[in-house]
Amino acid sequence: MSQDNQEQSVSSKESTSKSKTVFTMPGNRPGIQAVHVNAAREMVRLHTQGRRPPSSTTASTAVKGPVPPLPSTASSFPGASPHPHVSIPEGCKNPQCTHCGKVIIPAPQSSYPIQDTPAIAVKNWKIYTIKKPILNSTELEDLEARFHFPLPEMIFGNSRVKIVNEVSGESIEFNALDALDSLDSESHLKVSYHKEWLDSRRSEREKKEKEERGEVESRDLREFTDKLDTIEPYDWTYSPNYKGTTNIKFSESSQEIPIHRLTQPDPILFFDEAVLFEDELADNGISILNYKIRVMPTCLLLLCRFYLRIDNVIFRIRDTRVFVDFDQDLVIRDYRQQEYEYSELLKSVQRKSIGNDPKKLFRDHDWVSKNIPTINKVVESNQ
Amino acid sequence: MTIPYNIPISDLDYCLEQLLDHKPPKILPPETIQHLCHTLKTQLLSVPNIMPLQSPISIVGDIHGQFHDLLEIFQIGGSPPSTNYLFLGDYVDRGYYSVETISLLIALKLRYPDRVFLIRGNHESRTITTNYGFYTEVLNKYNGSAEVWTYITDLFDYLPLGATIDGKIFAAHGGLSPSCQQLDQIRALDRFREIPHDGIMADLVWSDPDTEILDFKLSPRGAGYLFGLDVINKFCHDNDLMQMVRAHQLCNEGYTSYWKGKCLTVWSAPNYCYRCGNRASVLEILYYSGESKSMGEPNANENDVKYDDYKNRFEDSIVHKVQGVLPGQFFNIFEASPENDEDTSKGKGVNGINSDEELVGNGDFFCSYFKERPRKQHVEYFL
Ligand SMILES: [Mn+2]
Repeated sequence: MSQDNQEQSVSSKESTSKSKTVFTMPGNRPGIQAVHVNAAREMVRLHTQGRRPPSSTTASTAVKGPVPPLPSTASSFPGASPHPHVSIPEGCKNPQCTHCGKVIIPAPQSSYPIQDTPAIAVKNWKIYTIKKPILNSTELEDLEARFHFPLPEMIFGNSRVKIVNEVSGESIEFNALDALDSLDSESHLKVSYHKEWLDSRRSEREKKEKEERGEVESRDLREFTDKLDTIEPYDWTYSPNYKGTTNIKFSESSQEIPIHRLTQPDPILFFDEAVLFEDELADNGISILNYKIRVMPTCLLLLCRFYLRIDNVIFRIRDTRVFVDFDQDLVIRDYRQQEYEYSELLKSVQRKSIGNDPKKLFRDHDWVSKNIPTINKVVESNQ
Repeated sequence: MTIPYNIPISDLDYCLEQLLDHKPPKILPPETIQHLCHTLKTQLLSVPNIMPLQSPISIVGDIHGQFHDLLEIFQIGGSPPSTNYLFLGDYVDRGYYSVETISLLIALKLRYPDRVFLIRGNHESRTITTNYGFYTEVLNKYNGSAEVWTYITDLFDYLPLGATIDGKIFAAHGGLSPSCQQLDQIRALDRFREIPHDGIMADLVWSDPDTEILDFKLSPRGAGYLFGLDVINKFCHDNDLMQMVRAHQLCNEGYTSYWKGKCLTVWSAPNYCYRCGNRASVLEILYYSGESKSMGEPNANENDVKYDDYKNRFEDSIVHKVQGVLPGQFFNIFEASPENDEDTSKGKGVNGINSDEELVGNGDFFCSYFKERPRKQHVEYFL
């Protein structure tokens, strides 16, 4: 302590001779060095150890080695479970909580990329999810025959969520590639400053043509833009028309998803969420397809949501909800589209004068969904 | 001005220490940030739009607020001042530690002005940072005040737009512009401003290479360019360059080589956004090999320490062929830091972000051994 003070006074004495000391600090410290980095890392390591379950692994924490076997099969499911129809299928490597038997997601040992395939089975229904990293360059090359347009910058093409009825064979799954197959061939939407941008480009070209007429030599890279406009049109907003990949025979139904069963505080036995694809539209907004699933003892809800925000242009949401009643093997699919002008929503946010960061709300997909109108809705069921 | 042109080294070391020796890193007080930014701005006034740099140097791509992954770079690639670094922009937005990341880079630049070089990416902009997270992060970490955001985004206007290495490699954040044939046209720009929607400055930070095309194409979204082989060949020929190095595009492998190394993408944010599972890289340029020897055996003095180092670390002439880089270059590939993994599972709630959010669901969902480290967002009663 006193030594620190001494150091401070020394350093301030030193520096006052040259310039005023701006910050109070100890004296001669080294700059950034590997040892600093190591120290920071070590602190984090200590801090994050709490992540590992202490009981079964205390013996192995000192030894870096294979992860000890974890309870992962149906037989190890606690006999005292209040839900006898629930089991953990083979192949699911996620451990269960020793207390309540819930599937732990992500598994405590998993490090990204999360390679395990968490799964749960309730009565006739089996539910699983796969989460993998974005596609690599080889995988992307293999897709060139399937997609003739530039793909979103992040494609989780190996990730999926799947619900299967083991008895009837009915299944529905959501994955990125099938969603991208369903895009329109082009989009009428443009970024907000499109006109301004086009105008400046036109005037540049006119300038160049003038220069050429005046026989001023002006060969520059602009010559490469003269013969073309855009690349082959495609839906650059990546708005899918996708209600899942399924063999279920759906027909229009008047039976809505029973909200009361989803709002009662049933325990959630299984929850997972993941992004299927995502693109920042070259910083003009966001286009993202993701899913969330929660499994309760008697039913499940899956939401696959497409969210599009083009800054200063539009919001667009396309939600597919799948509800499964395990007792009746009933599947209800609710698909709805929402759209709203950006400026309209911004106005209503400003009216409510929500803080000094209104755009924060525009990154909250749920908030946007609750605050923009629905333009189309279809409810179907398998019964 | 009463504020000194130079900040004492001990002050800078203190700033570095605040950021490196604490978990989570300690953010610097607003007055300190103001002072650092002011001093750096003064220094950058005399820096040209394109900085002439020399090898050996390590080139870093997008970081996007992934502070711990930045430390990982210093860990694997050496730290300043023993290693020279050129950062290609996109320091902020998306990750949870934009404030810490940009603070560290500013302090490092001031501490080692001849060893650390920063150029501007498309996220070093007021508009982009209000839409993609940095602004919100500043409000969260500085008690609702946007002051620090103002200091830092003002500084962004002073960052150079590119660099050359050994006069032979051109480095920028995005790509080439149809309005720019000569490097001198970039040198002549008035860069001290917000990034505009169009023109050379915009294209430099936004455009992308495309191996499918030869010339320039407009993006179908209505603004922005893609550039092809003829464009880069002409640009390199006219400016006596061998190569363009840029960042800006996510790739699973952490790097991409186009046209046999004529253009390289370096991406330095592993497990981008805590969910992509991608690798990252740093491009180490150890020496410049003359054109006669390009794509051949590395040509270097046997006594050259740098070359010996290179030779010892990699089987010479194999690595550059596998990676599609030129001799003397090497993509040092790395994976996400343990802290990134930690943030991945935590989802949110780092260093003040979303600290207002309460734990979703109820604590019972997490097994007893997770109690000391409650997690957010793993179970959600979504509808
Ligand atoms: Mn970028």
